[in-house]
Amino acid sequence: MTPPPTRDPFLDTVRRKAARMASARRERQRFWQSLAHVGVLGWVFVIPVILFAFVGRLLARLSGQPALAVGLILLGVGVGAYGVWHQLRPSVRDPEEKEP
Amino acid sequence: MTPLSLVLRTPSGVLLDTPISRLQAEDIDGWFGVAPGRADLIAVLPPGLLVFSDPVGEGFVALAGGVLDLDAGRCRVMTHRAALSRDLDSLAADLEQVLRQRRAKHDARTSALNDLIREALQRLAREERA
Repeated sequence: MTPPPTRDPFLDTVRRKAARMASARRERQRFWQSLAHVGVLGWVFVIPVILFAFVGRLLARLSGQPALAVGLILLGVGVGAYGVWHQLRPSVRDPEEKEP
Repeated sequence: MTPLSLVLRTPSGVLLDTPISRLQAEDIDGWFGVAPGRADLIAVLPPGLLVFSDPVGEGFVALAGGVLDLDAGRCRVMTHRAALSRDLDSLAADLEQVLRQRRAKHDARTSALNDLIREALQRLAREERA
C-alpha cells in the first residue's frame, strides 16, 4: 500500500521510486525462481522415464519380449508424472488447507 | 582498467567516499549504469535514488537531485540533501529520520536566533527608557 503523501515532495518521490524498485527486484527474483522450478520439474519427469526405458530395453533383450520395454517406459512416464505432481503439490495446495 | 570510486558530497560534508564496483543512477532519460572503464560523463540527477556496490555490499542513496561527475574513474555526486541506507526497504524511513533531524536542528537554530533577537530588542527598549 502506498503511504499517504507528506508535505515533502522529495520524500514522496523517494518513497515512490524505492517501492517501484523493490517491486521490480522481487518480480525479477520470482522469475528466476520459477524458471529454476520448471527446470527441476523437467528433470524429475525425464530421469525416471530414461531409467525405466533403459531397464526395460535390457529386460526386453534378455527375455525376448519387446512389450516389456514398452511397459516399463509407460511405468517410467507414470513415475515421472507422480514425481512432478509430488513436487507441485505444495504450491497448488488450497491456501485454506491447514498443515497437520 | 581504472577502478571506480564514489564521493557523495552535501553542503554539510562528505557523506560517502568509497571504492565501488558499479553504480546505477537516473537522469532525465532514465536509468544508466557506471562500471569500471566507462567513458567520463556529467549528468544532472533528478530527485530519486542512486544504487552502488562497494566492499560492504549494496548501498542505496536517496538524493534531492544533484550533479554526477565521472572523471577518470572518480565519480563525484553533489547534492543538497541525501540519505544513505544499506536496505532498500528502509531507505524512505532513513530519509524521513534524516529530514526530521535536519528540521529539528533548523528549528533549534531558529529558536535560538529568535531568543537572541528578543533579548536584544528588550535590552534596547530598556536602554531607551533609561
